[in-house]
Amino acid sequence: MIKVFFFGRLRETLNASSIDISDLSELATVDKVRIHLSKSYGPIWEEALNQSNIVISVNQVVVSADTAIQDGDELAFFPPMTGG
Amino acid sequence: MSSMIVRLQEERFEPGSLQSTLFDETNRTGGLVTFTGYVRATDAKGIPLKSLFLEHYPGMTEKSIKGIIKEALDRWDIESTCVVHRVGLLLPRDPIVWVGSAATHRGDAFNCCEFVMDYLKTKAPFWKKEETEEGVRWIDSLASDGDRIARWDAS
Repeated sequence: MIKVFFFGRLRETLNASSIDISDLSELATVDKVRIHLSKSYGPIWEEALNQSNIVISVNQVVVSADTAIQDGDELAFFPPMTGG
Repeated sequence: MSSMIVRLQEERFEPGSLQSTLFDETNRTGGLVTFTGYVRATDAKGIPLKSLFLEHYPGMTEKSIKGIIKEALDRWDIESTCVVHRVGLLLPRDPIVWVGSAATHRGDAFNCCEFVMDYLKTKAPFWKKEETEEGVRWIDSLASDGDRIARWDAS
């Protein structure tokens, strides 16, 4: 199982802070997880998760879309950061 | 050995007392540079701000800030560094962020403070949402913040 967190505007748009995914077959990379989620929960998720500026992290480190995932990983999808 | 203090908190902070704490970390400091970021009283269009909400990613935010400081320590000779960043609900003119860097010589302290602040804006997971009488809106990242990072990458 992996856990996927959402933050900022994306969390509000999806109306979800996190989601668990149990079946990881065919979800080898973070981009495949993104595509899976965008196709599974309707048009709002599809539009929100297909924005080009979404940042993805694995185990709290920002990664590229082709990064491989493993059982137990913590993923997060979020908009560009605006701190400081 | 350089010291590093990173704190996320909902409470207000006092820049003066943070500066004293940082100065007391070592007796080798010859220059101490600080930056305080505040909540503006208006939004980008000049409309009075009611509040600013700061969301973060617990765990990753602290880790990211420590990573940014470590990168600065590789570049400059720094005695001690401190970052305090507030989260949650803030009011206009509240202090948001404080960065202090202490070094034997001022050049290193100036560079470290500016570098940490520039990276913190775009590489540490915080998201700002502002409220005015017109409603609530998430703030978009600025291209100019990315430009400031590119400047360090080139140096």
